[in-house]
Amino acid sequence: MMKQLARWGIAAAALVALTAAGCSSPEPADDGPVTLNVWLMKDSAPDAVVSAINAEFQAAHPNVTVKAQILDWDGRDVKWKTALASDNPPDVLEMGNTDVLAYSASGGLADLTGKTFENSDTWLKGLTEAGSYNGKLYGVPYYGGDRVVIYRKDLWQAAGLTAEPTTLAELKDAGAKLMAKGGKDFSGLYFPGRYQYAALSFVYDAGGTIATQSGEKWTAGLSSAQAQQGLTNWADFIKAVSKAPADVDEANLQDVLGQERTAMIIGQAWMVGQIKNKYPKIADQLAAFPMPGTQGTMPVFLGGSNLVSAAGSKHPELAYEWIKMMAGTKYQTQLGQAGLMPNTTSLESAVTGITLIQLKAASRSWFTPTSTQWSNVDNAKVLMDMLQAIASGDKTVAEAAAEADQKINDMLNAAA
Amino acid sequence: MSIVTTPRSVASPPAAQTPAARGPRRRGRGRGLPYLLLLPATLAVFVTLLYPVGSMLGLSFQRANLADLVTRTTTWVGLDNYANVLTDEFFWTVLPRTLAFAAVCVALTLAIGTVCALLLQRASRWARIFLSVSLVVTWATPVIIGAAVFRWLFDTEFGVINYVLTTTGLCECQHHSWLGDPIGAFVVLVAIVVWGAVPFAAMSIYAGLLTVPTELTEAARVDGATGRRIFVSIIFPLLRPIYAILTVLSVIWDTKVFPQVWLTTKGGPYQGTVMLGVYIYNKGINNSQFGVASTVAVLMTIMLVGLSWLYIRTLRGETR
Repeated sequence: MMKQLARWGIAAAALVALTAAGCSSPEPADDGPVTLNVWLMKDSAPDAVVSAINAEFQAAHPNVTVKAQILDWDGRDVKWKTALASDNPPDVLEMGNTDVLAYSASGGLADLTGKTFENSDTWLKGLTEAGSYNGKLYGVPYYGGDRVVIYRKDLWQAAGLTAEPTTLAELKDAGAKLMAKGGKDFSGLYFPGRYQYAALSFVYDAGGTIATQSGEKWTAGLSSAQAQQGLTNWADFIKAVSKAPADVDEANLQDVLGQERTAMIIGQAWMVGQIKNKYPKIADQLAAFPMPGTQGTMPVFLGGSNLVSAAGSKHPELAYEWIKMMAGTKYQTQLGQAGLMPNTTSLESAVTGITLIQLKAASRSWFTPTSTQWSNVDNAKVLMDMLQAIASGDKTVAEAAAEADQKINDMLNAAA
Repeated sequence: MSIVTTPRSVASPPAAQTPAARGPRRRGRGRGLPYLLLLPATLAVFVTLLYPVGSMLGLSFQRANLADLVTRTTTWVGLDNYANVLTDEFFWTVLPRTLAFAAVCVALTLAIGTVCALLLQRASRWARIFLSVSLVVTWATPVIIGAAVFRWLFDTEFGVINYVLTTTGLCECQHHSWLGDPIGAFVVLVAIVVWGAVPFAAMSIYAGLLTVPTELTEAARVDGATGRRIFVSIIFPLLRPIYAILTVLSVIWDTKVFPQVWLTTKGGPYQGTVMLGVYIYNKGINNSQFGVASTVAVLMTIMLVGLSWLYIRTLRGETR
């Protein structure tokens, strides 16, 4: 019914466009008024940046109106699926970098291989990988996100600590010291058991991986000696510095720091903004350093977003130009200044503070296995359950890792 | 049912009037009218029931993954989805778990509902008003909000339950993780579902209690029957139809329980509280296997319709 109405609406609009153009143009889409539909995600690019790019884009294409909509992260999948299957899909979409793969493989996204983009040779590797499938580029790196240690300067000083730790052992000592000085429920570094993106970094730090691919077959690697060493390092670390429960995820990090129940968390730059707003008392005391590993900084999970275009877009060229503009130096600089991590390492000079620390940390990063079946593992909470079992002491590292490996192997190698 | 009876009652008055009072020309119009009046109801049933169930059935024979969806192709796979589901070990863990969960919830709902109804009947006026208002407010609380409230009540760090238990000295429950192991999470889920379901059961049973003639219970009391005896031998048999319908409805509601689970445990920990609803959601919405998800939904529908039918049939047999 709605689709019918929409079709009539489009037909009517096309007719009006035709008559306005004097009935002469064979391609009304290029000359007549065109609406470019752009779907962005909540809490990503600030409104000012979106307005600025749309104004510039519309100035360059007088017949185009850019209609930007902001989607909630919750329930985004359902909206994308419905939209991509419709007659008139949005032209440009922002997708989380863990989301892109499944859509690239589905055939619903436009192939952007071979198009030129600024800074594409210095794009963040993790974002480029996330946007690629079978050697083709579907998702253009938009912005990144990774985790650093956010700490309270005042508590740090009160405990007699000065230099920022450069090794995991130093961080562990500092955390233990801070925890000893605090009250009964106080953590040195609050690290909940199900905080998988921070915990799995320990596996990569020790040289392990979640799973590797050879040909079509995936092999889970959590039981390898290196991965088990990493998980053991993690278990020892959280025991020494954290009083967070084993069955909780990272949803409350900001509040725990704001309510002065920890001296440190592992978090992202945007969290600092939230904490400052909600808990102004400690606003001036927050600082950050990269998470140290056993050798050098610890590899970080590279999150972030990519920009994609729907395969069924009526205006593929305009969609490409919009993506190109947003992914280019000018707007990436603006995003960087607003606290988002730009898509390229070449813009280090454009960012400051925690964003700069995050961008530097991104040089050593890891990403979840690029299998279209990974969402099954994610939804079954295999990694979170493994971590909780280890943190709570329900299972040994070897048992928990073996169990997770078996599930990952089953799920990644199941027929699609 | 109502659709079958409506046209008859609507059709009969004009049929009685037309031959005498009005000409035969009108008769043709009168004959079409019932069908016309039937149309809205038929349309509503079609749009809200037949079409969705039909497309669910259709989807269960298709692959219907993300690629099929966005490229709008239909790939028929015959009975593959059914084979896939019925050989999935996890399905055979989830199914009995769901049924056990529903059984516990239904039993508790009816038991607590009965107690509340009896209380309502005997309590003083103010107590009755207080209890009714509490029940209605509970009943009016959206499931989503109820689940969110319970999730925070039982929270490991910020939960009121842990706080109250610890400060009153009942147990050293600080940082006790209620949702941390499958059994604990199961208990909390039962509490949420029963909490939400009791008001409806209590109100229905209370309404039923009001229809029980007081002479019967008074006569029984004169004969020396105890309260329990009166309930078992007089009240319960009279209210049997109400209990029957409450049981059927509760079984259906509790078997397809979803928001309460999704908002508190998401099926965890260790996948220990995945019920059929979450199983379907994970397969369909999260993993884009819409064919497989529809298959599970079809199986669940068949099972529930079968259970309800069996129950209603035995019940009718008993009353006859």
